[in-house]
Formats: sequence, C-alpha cells, structure tokens
Amino acid sequence: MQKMGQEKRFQIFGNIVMCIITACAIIPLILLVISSFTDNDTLIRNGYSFFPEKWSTYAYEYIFTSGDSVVHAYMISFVLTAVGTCCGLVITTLLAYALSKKFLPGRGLITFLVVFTMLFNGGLVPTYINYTTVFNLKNTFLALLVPGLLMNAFNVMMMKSYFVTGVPDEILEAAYIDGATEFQAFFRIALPLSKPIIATIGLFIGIAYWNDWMNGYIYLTKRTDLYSIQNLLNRMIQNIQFLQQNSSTISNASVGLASIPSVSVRMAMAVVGVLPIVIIYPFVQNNFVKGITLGGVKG
Amino acid sequence: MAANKKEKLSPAKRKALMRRSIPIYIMALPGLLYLFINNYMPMPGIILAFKNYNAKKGIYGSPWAGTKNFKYLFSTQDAFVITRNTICYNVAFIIINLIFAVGVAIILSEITSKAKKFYQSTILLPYLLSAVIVSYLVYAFLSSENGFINNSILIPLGKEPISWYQDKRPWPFILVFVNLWKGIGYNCIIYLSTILGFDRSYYEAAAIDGATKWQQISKITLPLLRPTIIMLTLMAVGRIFYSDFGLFYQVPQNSGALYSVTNTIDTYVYRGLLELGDITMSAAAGVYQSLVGFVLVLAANLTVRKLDPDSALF
Amino acid sequence: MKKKLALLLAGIMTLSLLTACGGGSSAPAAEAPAAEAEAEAEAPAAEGGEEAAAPAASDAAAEAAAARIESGDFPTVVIAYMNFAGQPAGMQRISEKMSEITREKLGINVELMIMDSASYRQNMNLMLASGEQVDLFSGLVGFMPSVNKGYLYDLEEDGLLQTYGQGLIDAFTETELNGCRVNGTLYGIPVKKDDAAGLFGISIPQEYLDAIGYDYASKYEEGSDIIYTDLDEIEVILGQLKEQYPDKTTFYIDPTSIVSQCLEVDRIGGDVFGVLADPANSLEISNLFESQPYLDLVHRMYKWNQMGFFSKDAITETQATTVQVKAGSLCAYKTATKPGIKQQESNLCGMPVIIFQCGPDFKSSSTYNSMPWCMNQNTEDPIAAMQVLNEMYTNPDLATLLCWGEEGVEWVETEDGHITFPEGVDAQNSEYYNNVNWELGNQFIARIWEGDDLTIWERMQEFNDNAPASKAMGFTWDNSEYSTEYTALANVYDEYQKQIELGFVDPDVAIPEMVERLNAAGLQEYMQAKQDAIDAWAAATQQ
Repeated sequence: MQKMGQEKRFQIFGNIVMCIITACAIIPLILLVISSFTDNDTLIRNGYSFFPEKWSTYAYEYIFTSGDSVVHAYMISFVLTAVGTCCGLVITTLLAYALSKKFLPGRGLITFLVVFTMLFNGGLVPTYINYTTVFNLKNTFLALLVPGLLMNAFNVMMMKSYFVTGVPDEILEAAYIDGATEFQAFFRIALPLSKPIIATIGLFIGIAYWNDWMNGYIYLTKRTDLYSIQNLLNRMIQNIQFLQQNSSTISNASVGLASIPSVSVRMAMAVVGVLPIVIIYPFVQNNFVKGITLGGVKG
Repeated sequence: MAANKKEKLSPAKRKALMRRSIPIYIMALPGLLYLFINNYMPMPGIILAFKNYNAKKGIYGSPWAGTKNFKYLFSTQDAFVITRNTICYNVAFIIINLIFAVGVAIILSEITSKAKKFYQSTILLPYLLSAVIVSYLVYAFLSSENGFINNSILIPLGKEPISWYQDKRPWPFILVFVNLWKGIGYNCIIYLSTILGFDRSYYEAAAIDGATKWQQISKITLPLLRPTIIMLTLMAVGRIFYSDFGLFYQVPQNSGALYSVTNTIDTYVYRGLLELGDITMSAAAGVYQSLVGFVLVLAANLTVRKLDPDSALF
Repeated sequence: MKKKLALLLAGIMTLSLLTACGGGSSAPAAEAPAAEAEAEAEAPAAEGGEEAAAPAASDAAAEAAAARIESGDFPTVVIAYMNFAGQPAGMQRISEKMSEITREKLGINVELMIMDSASYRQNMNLMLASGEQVDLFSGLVGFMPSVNKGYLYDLEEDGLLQTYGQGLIDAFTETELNGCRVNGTLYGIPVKKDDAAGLFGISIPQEYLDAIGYDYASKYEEGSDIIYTDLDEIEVILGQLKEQYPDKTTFYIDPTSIVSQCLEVDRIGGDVFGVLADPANSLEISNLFESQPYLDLVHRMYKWNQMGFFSKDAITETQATTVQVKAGSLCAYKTATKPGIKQQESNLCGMPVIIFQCGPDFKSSSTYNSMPWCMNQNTEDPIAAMQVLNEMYTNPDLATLLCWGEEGVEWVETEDGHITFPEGVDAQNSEYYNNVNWELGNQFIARIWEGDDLTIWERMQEFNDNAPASKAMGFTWDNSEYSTEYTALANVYDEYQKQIELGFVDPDVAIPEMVERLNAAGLQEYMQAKQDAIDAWAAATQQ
C-alpha cells in the first residue's frame, strides 16, 4: 500500500517537473508562432507580443510566393535528411559495433583515431580544397550530403558504449558458438537489441542534416536550386547581419537592408523550418518504446 | 589492450581470432574510409596556423611564420578574460546540463502519464532553432522598451525597469539558462535511450525486494548510467576551449557593455578577424583550442582508465 | 524600326560617354575590327564620333581580339560579385547576353557568378585559396587582406593595363588609380560611385516637419535639394518632434557608421585607430578619441540621449532606419548625403523626406580601394580578363546589362529616356534586379532608372570632384604586421563604441577609461606605425 502511494507521489512530482520544463520550452515557441503571424510594422513599432495589435499572414504569403521556392527547398531538405540519415546510420552502426568488439586486434588504436577526429580538424580552407579539388563535390547534391555530416566520432562513441553495455557479449558468443557468422550475429542479435540507440543516433544525424546550412553556404555557389530550407532561412538572416556590420563601408547598405524582408518573415521561416521535425519526431519516439519491450525479453 | 593479451596465444587460436576479426574489420571499413576522407585528408592543413599564407605559393609552399599567428591569442590584456570566460562557462554547462539531462531522462523513463510523448517532443524543439532566432526570442523578453520582463513583471510590481543589455551582472545566469533551455531536450535523449535499454528485470527484482523509487534510481539507474555519463563528460572536456558562437555573440546582441562576461575565445577571434580576414590567424585559434582539449582529454582519460577501465574512451 | 533603335543607341552612347568621362577627356578602347564593321553599320553616328578619339595604343588589344575571333577558341572569363539576395534567376541569360557582346567584340565569353552578401567574402576566400576559376571579382572580399594573401594579380604586369586597359586609364584620374596601389603595385580598379559623402546628413519625413510647422521650403540654397544647417538647429527640431510625437523614437543614428559618416576625419585604412584629424591640410596621425570633433560629437549624443531622443534599445536595434520610419516608429535619422539622396531616402521610407546636412562634403583616402575590381592571380588568361574589365567600364550596353539586365525583360525604356520595369514585372519578381550598381564597375555609363534624375551621374561626378579630399589620398595602410594589436584594439573599441557614441554613458567618464584600455592594447604603437608608413609614403610621392 505504502509503495503505491510512493509511486503515485513520484508520478505527480515527475509530471509537475516536466510541466514546468515543457512550459519553459513552449512559451517562447508560441511567441515565435504568434510573431510570424503579426503585421511587420506592428512588430517593429511595438516589439514582440503575445497579443499583437494587428495580425497578418503576409510573412507566409511572401515565403510561399517569392522567387526561391520553399516547396522545392523542402523537398531537398527531406531527401537530404532521409538519404543522409540512412547512409550515416549504416556506417556509424557498423563502425561502432566493430569498436565494441573487445577481442579485435588494434581496437585501441582505431578508437584513438576516431576520437582524435573529434579534437583536431584541418580547418575550413583545407577541407574545402579537399572536397572541391580532389572530389569535385562543388555544386552537387553530394556536397550537402558528404562533408562533415555523414558520420562523426561523437555518435560512434555513443553507439559503441551502448553496444558494450546494452548487448551482452555472452549472447553474441553463444550465437557464435552455435555457428552464426559475425554478420549474422550482428544483424540477428545485436541490431534488434539496439533499437533505442539506433533511433537516437538516427535522430541526431537527422537533426544535423535538417539543421545544416553550412555545406550549402560553402559548396553551392551556382546551384542555388539545391538549397535546403535552412539555406534559405540562413541566407536571409546572414544578409541582414552582414549589412548591419558593414554599413560603414557600404554606403548603400540601407538600400540593401530595406530590400530584405524583415522580422515577421524571419520568424515565419523559423516556424517553417521547425515544423516537419515536430511532425516526424513522434514517429521516431515509437522506436524508443519498441526498444523497451525488446529489452524486457532479452533478460 | 585486450588484443595485446591475446597476442601470446597459440598459432591456431590466433588464426581463429583473425578469422573472426576479418568480418569486423570489413564492418569498420566504410566508417574509417569516411574519417580518412573527411578528417584525415585535410588534417595536414593544420600547418596553415604556422604559415605566412600566400595564395601564389599555396598552403604548403608558403613561408613559415613560427608562432606569430598565435601571438594575438596570448599577448593581450583580454587573453585572461576570454580564457576564463570560456572555461568557466563550459564547466558550468557540463555540470548543469549533466544534472538536468540525467534528471529529466530518469523522470521521462519512469513516468507513465500520456503526456510523456508530448513532454519529450516539446523540450526538443528549442534545440532546432538557430541562434539568431533564439536571440530574437530572448530579446522579446529582455528588451528595455517592449520586453516582457520589464513591462509585464517589473513595472507592474512597481520595480525599476532594467536595461538588460547594459547590465552585465545577470548575464552569466541568462547564458547558462539559455544554454540549458536550448539543449536539455537533446541532451536527455541519449540518457533516455540508454536507460530504456537497461534490463527491466533488475527493477522488477528490486521492486519485489521492496526498494523505493529513489533507491531504484540511485542503486540501479545511476550506476548503470555511469559509463555513458563519463564518456559524454570526457567528450565535453575535449571541447572546453570552444564556445557556442551563437550563444555568446547573438544572444547578448553583441552588446559591448556585456563583453567582460560574454567575450569568449571564439567571439574574440571573430571580432578581431572580421576585418582582417586572416585565415592563418583563425587556423591558429583552432589549433590552440584543439591542443588544449586534446591534452585535457588525454589526462582525463588516463585518470578514468585507472579508476574504471571500461568507461575510458580508449 | 532598326534604324530608329540605332539612332537612339547612338544618342545614349554619346550621352553616357559624356557622363562617364566627366570632362570628356577620355574615350573607350578601340574596338575589334570585326565588331567594328558591324557596329558601324548599325550606329554610324556614334562610331564616327569615337573613331577619331580612339587611341592607337590599343592596337595590341584589337589584335588579340581578332586572333581569338579568328581561331574561334573563345576563353571564358568568370566575373564574380555580390548582391543582397543571392543568385538571381536570370543570371545565366544575362551572362549569355553579355557574352554576345564580348564574343563579337573581343572573342571572349563571360560568365557571371553572383553570391549573396553574407557568403561572398567567405566563398571568394575559399575559391581564391583553392584555385577555382574566378577571373574578375569585386573587391568587397576585402582589399588589403586579399593583397596580403597574394590573391590579386598585378594589373600592370608586363604593361597589361597600358596595353589592354586604356579605357580604364582614361576613366580614372591618376589619383583615383593610385588609391588601389599598394607599395606601388596596382591591384585593382576603383568603381564609379559616390566617392565623397556629405557628412552628418539628417533625414526627416516632410510630414513630421509639417506637423511641427517647420518651414523647410525657404531654407534651400539655390539648385540644391539639401538643406545645409547645423546641429543646434537640428536639436531644436528634434526637441519639437519629441513633443509632437512622444510615442515615436525621435532620432536614431546607425552606430556602425557614426565616425565615417559624421566626422571630417580620415580613417586611415578604414579603421579608427589613428586618424587624420585635419585631413585637408595635415598628414599627422592623431588619436580620434581625444580629438575635439569626436568629443563634441559624443557629448552631443550624450545630451540628446539625456533629452530622450534615443530609444532605450538603441544599442541593440537591428532594424534599418528607413524600415523603422516606414513602420512609423522613428522620426529622424542620420544618413550620408550625395546627389539623389532625397529621392533614394524617400523611396526607402515610403514617404517624402527632407534632407539636412550638418557637416561638409568630404572624400576620405580609403574611398577608392573600398571595393575595387580585382583580378585573380590565378587567372589563366590575364589579357582576356583585362579586356573584359575594360569593356565593363567603357561599353554602355554591357554596363547596362550588368547593372539592370536585359531590355524588354528586366526593363523597358520610358518616353523621357529613363528605363523602368516592364508591365507585370517588379522588384520582387524580376529575374535580374540586384540593387548593387555601385559595385558593378561603371554605373555612370549604364541607363538611368526612373525616379533618378537623368543628369544624376553628371551631378555625382561634380560632387566627387568638388568635395574636399584627404591629403592622404592614394595612401594605403597595410596593418598585417600589426594584426595582434589590431585584434586587441578592435575588441576594446567594440566594447565601448555603441555605449559612448549613442550617448548611453557619460563620455567624460567612459572615454578616458576606453583610451586607457586602448593604450594598453597598443594604440600608440599602432598609431606610430601608421604615422611612419604615411611619412614614408609622403616622402616617396613628393619627390
């Protein structure tokens, strides 16, 4: 009886804490959505408000009718995120699994080489030269996909650590002794047990692809038709920033500034950029739940 | 390490080991190939930091500059402030983010309410916003004329409105809060998925033995989480000389009055090199940050390996 | 029909040539014979006029063009510049149209590469460092850094400019070209733009001045659309505006350009650490922050802030001034004046404005190298690149294409000789509308858009010629040896600048504090280095 009460108390406490944190997260976002529906002049005059003087859908009209097609950019973002997440997950999982094998000769060295990339990098210019002159990726879709995002040491190490703790060696050894090959052991036993981490790392990779604008910014100078949604948003924001910082050297900066859509459009772009993740994330979450049930079985 | 011990095995066993290892190496290959292309091929470019770059001669043909490119990072009066800020904020972030992320992950894994999914999705959202958008939202709360805190809280309470962007005292707290707000949903995911992977039978057994919730958390969940916590912390230590540029530059609106608490190595380099556009100096900053991170990670990893070999990075 | 067009074209060419050359002292480069014959048939009047003036020096240029045309092997010259919205939809088409002209005349194809302002600097740096093909580019990449990194081609190597760029030599005075020299080497060609600036201009919507009963109509000097006045009078006006419109912000001054657009000081090398405080007469470097004009300015701003003219959020303001006026939240703002400014600001604010000017006109020494056109050191065919550059500055058709796009698609001619959008096209949906003509070499020879005076460029040239120039004109400051000091100084100045210059802190307290920290960061050494460099330059040029 006492245990039931204690469980209930924990549930109440947990829900209260989560409600507070969720409120903190959601209130500014509501503000974001409201300001994207606020009349631009009202925003400039009165600042951001939960109860704007004048509503307007101009920002969205502008986004969906202006030269750069938002719908097209969405498509690019979706394809990029889907392809990137799949490829990234495959190579990350395979490498992480390999690193989790304690018997593997040279494991320490390989791990070090992986972690080393987390600490040191050649810098932007050499990376750029590498991808443009050696691999000719400039102005191609691959330029969005390959540089930097496909796999990173952080994800590999997270996954490796999960394989070490979450997939007991004994089960794999047993399978091996039963005549399974390493590949069979990996696909039939290790993978199903690792659904939560695969969903997690998949989410991480997916978010990284979805949010990335740097690759488009650097590698796409001619093929602007390959711009993703984040490229569009960031290009706008960065242009505004550039003009503000350079108005002393460019005397005509004010002309440029006035020609770039301002506050409400930026807000609307942010909403447009976040929306798909809001829609997709709950489906990813289902995988966490599946992970639980499988975890229960394995014991 | 593990391999070293097996080195002394008999030839037959060694052969068996090799046979098992080959498929594993094949699995590792695509990933290693990618690291080679993406990270190791441009790596020699690090020498840019020690060069007097001239495009006519190329990166490798340019004359050596010794440590000249590093000088600006150390020889000025600001060196102390930016280093202190960078380290202090990172230490604060590591500790506070850890506590909250683990706490939220545990709560999320334990509660049964239907709102659970909603909580989890919502707290992730701030992570998806770019720093500039975050800075506008923060501005909506803190602006002097139209900000909510001044207009909806301080003035109705009869208090003096505050010029937030000119008063540096609250900013360490604001930045820690914004960082936490932005990252909590993301940071807790990894812990949450780890917890969900735990063997539920431990908890069932504990429950039968009459363990309280708190005991289950402190005796089962936390110890099982330890390797993950150590690993994430180790990796964060490697980036201790880096700072989130957006957080320290955009969110305080680049307000000069706040520099003494918002200027970090990254923002200092950015402000200094904006006009100079010197790629060798920015490369030098990168090398400096990496090097410190590397030394710290090596040291921390060594300590961890002594105490808890399984949790060490390598 | 064709004849009519040809005549018109001839007329325009003559007109724009006049404008371009200011005094008519120059003529465009000789044209390739092949092109010449055809052009002559089309526009005899214009050709006849130019032929006589064409200097013989460009025989080599004509030969090179002829050889290319004969061989049929056309090299491609890539031209890069920045705009505010990124690559326009019609870029390929305009490239092709431009190529039609350059192929026929020079045997060269051109290809435009347009990046948005935010990524331009970074992208260009990467491309220049990696050796991708970019032949000509706008120096908004950063002129001195590019020189230091060895990105730029010496334009006079083997007499390149003299042989193939006569039109460029003619288009500029010696002083103007010298502005792009570093240690005697010419690395760029200036652009034709507003080189001078009317200091401390104030723009106030007419409507607001009417409301306070201010009689602006009687204040104009003859033939001017700017009212010359002083800050005391502006202060009275602002005071009245504040009373009339208590809910609006009375005044805003864009903090990034206070020093450059309000004070008659020459910021040597474009930075504020060591300036010529008396630029018309003396080459003595002094400390801006202890100079009287600066102190007067910041005390004035402090006073205005105390009087409540500024928004409490002025330091963190992110909206452009004109956008704020348009939205109805701002009454008056600072702007740099020039011919046509009244029209420009009125367009931007969406209502007629009155322009006041409280300072003199002034031309600083960094005006010519602020955004010159440069050639990549890596360019494969410097001769072709130089010939294209020459054509950009001298061929009105090419300049119009580059600035405004294609006739009939992006623009049509109006009855009075202006050009404007065709039916159904506007700034939003036009496929080539960049708004950056000041960057594109020679806008003075391009067509003139509706709304601007047809004589705008003549007036601009006059304005440029008449504005008092800094004595250091032609000197270029290279701070690469002082980058450590510079980064430290830039960080200290950034910290104080907005607070002091927007009057949020008492200058009597804050300035000594800032100066002390600047000195600790190496201000004196930096200034001394500037002084030494400028003395050496003066000694070398005076001989």
